[in-house]
Amino acid sequence: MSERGDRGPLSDQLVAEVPALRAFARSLTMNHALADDLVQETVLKAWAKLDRFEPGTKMRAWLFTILRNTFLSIMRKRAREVEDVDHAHAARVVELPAQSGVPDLVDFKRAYTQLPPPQREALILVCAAGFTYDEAAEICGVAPGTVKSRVNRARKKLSEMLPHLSQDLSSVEPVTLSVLGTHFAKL
Amino acid sequence: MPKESNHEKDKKNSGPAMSPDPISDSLKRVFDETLNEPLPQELADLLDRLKSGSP
Repeated sequence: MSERGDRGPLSDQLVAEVPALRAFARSLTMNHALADDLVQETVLKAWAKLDRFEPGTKMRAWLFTILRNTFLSIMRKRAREVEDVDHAHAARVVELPAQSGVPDLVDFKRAYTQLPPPQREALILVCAAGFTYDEAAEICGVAPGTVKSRVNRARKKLSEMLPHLSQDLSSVEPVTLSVLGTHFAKL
Repeated sequence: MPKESNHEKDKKNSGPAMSPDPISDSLKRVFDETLNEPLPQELADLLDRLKSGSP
């Protein structure tokens, strides 16, 4: 067996997903340094259990799930240390977007940073990372309806904060009433 | 002639300012910005080690 063994193709897939992992990690932590630490830990964990990856399933979804679980356990550990709660510590280390760059995108990032983390996460998974509602739900450990609800509420908030983006939001799906009560499903 | 996607048709009809989903477009731009960034050295080194089979 070669040094890379049977892991070769899978480790190539893993490496190829690292940029997307970084983008997702940033949306969770809102901090570049924390995000890179998180990606590094995720890559090591994924490598250690690469033989458990089921061929034919989506490598990106598997990696995003590992990253998210790693993020939550780090946050819970820190929460115990600093009497904090999920995401609240991360909220304090949020890096606001730099003033330089494309003006519209800087405004968008500032507004996006203010979204509750579960909504931000749902938006990134569905609208940017290319997951279906069902896949995003599996990654987040919630029902697909909860993901839809979070995406819709996030879109509504962004359109309120950035009215110039709201003119085309007539396509937003109605919020499912049955999931309204689960504003923040248990993580 | 290559087939045009619905998204492309919409963009052509209404122009970039009237994109059918400006929020998704902005999110994609934020996401892609990170995708196109070079990796930090520590992470790049880790991936090199991983490619050779020993992270």
